Amino acid sequence: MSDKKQQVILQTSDDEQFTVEKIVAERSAMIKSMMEDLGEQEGQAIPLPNVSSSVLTKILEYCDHHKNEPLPAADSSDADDSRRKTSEIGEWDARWIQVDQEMLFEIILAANYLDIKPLLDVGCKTVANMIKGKTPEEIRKLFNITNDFTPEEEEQIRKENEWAEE
Amino acid sequence: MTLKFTVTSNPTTLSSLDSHLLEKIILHLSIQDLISLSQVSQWFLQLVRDTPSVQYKLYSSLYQCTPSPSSMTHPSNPTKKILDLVEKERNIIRLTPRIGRFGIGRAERVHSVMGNWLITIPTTSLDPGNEGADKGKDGYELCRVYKLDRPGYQRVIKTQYNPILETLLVDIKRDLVVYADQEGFVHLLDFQKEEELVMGGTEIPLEDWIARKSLRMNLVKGDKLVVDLGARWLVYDSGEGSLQHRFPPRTPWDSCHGSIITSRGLLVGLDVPSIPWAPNNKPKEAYLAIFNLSSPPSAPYHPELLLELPYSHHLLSKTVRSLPTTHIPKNIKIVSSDQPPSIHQAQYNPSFIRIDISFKTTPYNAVHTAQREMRLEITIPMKQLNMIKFENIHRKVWVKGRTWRRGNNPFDGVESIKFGDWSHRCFLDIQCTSSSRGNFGYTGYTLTAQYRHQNKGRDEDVGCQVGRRMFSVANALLVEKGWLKIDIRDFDHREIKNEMNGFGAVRGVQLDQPPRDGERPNKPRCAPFSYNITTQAQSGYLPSTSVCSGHFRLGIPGGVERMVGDDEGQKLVIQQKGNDKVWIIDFGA
Repeated sequence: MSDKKQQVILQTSDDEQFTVEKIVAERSAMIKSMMEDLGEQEGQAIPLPNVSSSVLTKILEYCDHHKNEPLPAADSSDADDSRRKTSEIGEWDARWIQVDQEMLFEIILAANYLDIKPLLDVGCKTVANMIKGKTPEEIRKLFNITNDFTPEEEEQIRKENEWAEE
Repeated sequence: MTLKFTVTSNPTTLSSLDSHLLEKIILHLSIQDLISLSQVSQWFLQLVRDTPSVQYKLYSSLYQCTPSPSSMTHPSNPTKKILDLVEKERNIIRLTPRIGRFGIGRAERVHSVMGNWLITIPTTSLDPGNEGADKGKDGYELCRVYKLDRPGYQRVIKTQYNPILETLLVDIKRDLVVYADQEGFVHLLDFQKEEELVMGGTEIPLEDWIARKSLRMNLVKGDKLVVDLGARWLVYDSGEGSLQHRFPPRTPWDSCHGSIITSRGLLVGLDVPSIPWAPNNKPKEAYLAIFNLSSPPSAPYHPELLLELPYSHHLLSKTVRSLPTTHIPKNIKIVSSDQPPSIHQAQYNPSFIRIDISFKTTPYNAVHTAQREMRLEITIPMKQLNMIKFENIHRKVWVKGRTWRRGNNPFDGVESIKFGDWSHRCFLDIQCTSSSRGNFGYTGYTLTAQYRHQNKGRDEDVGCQVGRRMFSVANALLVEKGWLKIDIRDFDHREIKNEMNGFGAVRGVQLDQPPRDGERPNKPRCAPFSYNITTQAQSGYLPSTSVCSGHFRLGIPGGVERMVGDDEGQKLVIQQKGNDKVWIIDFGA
């Protein structure tokens, strides 16, 4: 098999084309399935209408780094996935995902669309880690959210959640 | 050929993620974080309230259940699980269990119950003087496994090594069976495959094996196995069987009169130091010393907390007389008992520590026979330990000498937290243990640690501590009439959320909808022929408590051989003496 056949073209929402190794592209279960459907049609780009070039660039970096790791089983349920049991993120992944909030949410959306489970997991854990240990006010600041509770409602909320106080 | 499509460029924010993605994110959050999130804005509140899996997580915390990690991170059918959880709580409070019988072998004793799995051990090897099990053709019988929902199912787990059955620990959720053999090796088996994780077992260091005062196994967080030798604790990696830590490293803790280990790896030891120059070498003081075995303490191995207990005569007398529920007249003398305090053993992960301190009362001018035996019961919710620590964070650790120089007084010189400085964070109660002579006008309940009651008189009540509750059964009534009188004391009573809350993170469920056909087992619930519930409102720093009690006619007289609760506080299994059928008291939905 020639080297060319080991590559695949991906086309982003902003019409950019990326030629990537098949093994890298196959980290995405969605792309893998599309490749299987399209067969060996040389030069045909796989459209990714929900992913922009900037996000795909970033995601390809992740896929390239993890290309030699075993793929999660297609039928693996979330409950079986031991990675979900902790909030820990690998060292490289944690460094890689240090991006601004908009990019982070774009990565999560793209990971979901492309069906890259480990990446989706890293993204979700990162957002969860951002929230952890913060007060409501700090969370508002973090995500630029306006407090739309009245003082009376806030008092009621506090009362109804008293059971959870340590 | 390439396809064309439209580009959208709205800025992506957290709220623009699909609900299933938001669910994935917030399921990683702790209860406190979920509560904080629900207080951010109306949108986040609705997110928390409308996500069934998050609601299940909150309900599990509310009722202090410990579902398996997988069901916590991604529960299947969480709405049904919430209803089941709430219904279980309601059945416990109303004392409306399903009561059924389940057959086991005559020469078997109930060991434990987890979910629908019932584990028994052979009784032959438990007989005094018998040094282990009989080795059959295929090896020694370690235990039998039954499935309560599949009558007829039975599995015998055998081993080639002569087991000490009292050390058996079965954790089905972790797929692990742990036991020690008669030669001082710890064995870890895969429950399903019955294969050893470390071939031949892991050797307990010889000096520790010889010096052991008792032998128990505990599994704690981080896949660690803690072998409790009574005065020393060995922490192993449960996957590889490697010894990670030995605590204390040098002198054993000889003055430790019992301990419990939580699933988070907290070691709570009852320290009763002996003072060589004291008259009759009688202990004068007692403490609770708390260590964290998950992050092993380093030299000089100070406890995280050293709590003074009201054991000295003066402090005991002052404490007993100060209790508002008890009035002991001034002409009644309080006399310290010769017995040291005791700590209750708990099944699974205890959410409170229970200490009993015995004493006697006697009129000043009366003869010795007028003495009454009493017990001060101290219940410390685990949650309060952190608060005690926090309240005393500025306390200077004052050490006049070096700790662990003497095993019978290892904390000599470490300043303890005086009982008066932490007593507001524990429940205190007094119980008259010689009931024939009446009491001082208060009502109480008698509880005995599960392993202490064995082979005692038939008047003893039998109890077991599971989660936040203490279940106890009046043995005498069961012996004489075949009546099951059950008391359930809840040390963190939670109101059932029957109605929808306006703003709480826990949404509330409507419980009184009848179950649909096929949703519930056909077996009807039992209602007690007498029922009583008393609740004590939250006071000061302590949560609300409740005691519900009731009688059931079982119809078969016979004392309790063994009583165990399951890991989720849903089932009680009671084995009567000489009976090969056990009672399953199931409060589940």
